[in-house]
Amino acid sequence: MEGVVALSTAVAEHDREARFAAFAVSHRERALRLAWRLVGGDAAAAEDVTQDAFVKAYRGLAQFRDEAQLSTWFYRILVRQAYSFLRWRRVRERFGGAVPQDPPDLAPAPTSDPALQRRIADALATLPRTQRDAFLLVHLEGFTVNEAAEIMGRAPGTLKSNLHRARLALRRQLDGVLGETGEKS
Amino acid sequence: MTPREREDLELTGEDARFVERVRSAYTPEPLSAAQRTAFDARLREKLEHPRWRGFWIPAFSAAALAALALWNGLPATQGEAPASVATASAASPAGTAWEQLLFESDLTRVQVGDDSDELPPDYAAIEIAFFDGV
Repeated sequence: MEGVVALSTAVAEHDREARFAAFAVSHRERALRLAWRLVGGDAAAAEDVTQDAFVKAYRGLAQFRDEAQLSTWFYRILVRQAYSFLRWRRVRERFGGAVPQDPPDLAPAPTSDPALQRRIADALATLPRTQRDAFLLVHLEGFTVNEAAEIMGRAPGTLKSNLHRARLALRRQLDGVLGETGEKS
Repeated sequence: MTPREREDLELTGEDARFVERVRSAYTPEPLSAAQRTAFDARLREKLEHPRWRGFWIPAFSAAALAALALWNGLPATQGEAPASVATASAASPAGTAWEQLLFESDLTRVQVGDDSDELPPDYAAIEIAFFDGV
């Protein structure tokens, strides 16, 4: 009997690992990209944030049989993890000066303009968090309004309003900048 | 997503062009095969050896509590809690905000409908302690 229990435990563990591996592979790129955008283009931080979110997803895997639910939950954690990182970076910078960063593994695209990326990150940072999250999730990451609303814990109508305000605010700040450089992309 | 919902999101030409420009300019380079392998290896390492459980929480707890005590001029020995501590404790009656942050905080317990612009009690305590609520 003990052998059967041990075997079924091993099988369950194997299934869990296989399921997690499939989940991580299918969401790795998108999660890293979203984290990169959330933390303002810091590649090393994006990797840490993403990995920590995956670790939490692994622990909570058993709670979710449905892949869509797991995915929504995972991205909710990822967004929270990113803001947690930003808050702690603020504390560290306040007390320890600038935080030395590892060389980024996730280099920006060779054709991209670091100064322009900085301008965009700065403009995004001026938005209220709900507007920023809505803009990143829907417009840049391609989540549907309903998916983003679930991730953010908001009503879809509220999220659409946030999207509208975010676009207006960002266009006020970036239209001129992107107008000059947009043709390159 | 229904076609109706899709229509609701249909952007005008100017908005669509703007969003596309932001997206293309504000995008990291995709991972190379080697970077993917390295990422997976680091993730596996974190899963197998969760570093923060064994050492960092106790170490960080001690450091944070010491820092807080210094910051507030050792309030326990003066018999009167400063306003910042009182505010933090009021936000979390089950224990101090610091205890909750260090021992109970769990990012997975995300509440649907919570207002993201308002800090949860643990972060509010940090901001009050370190930034005077600014």
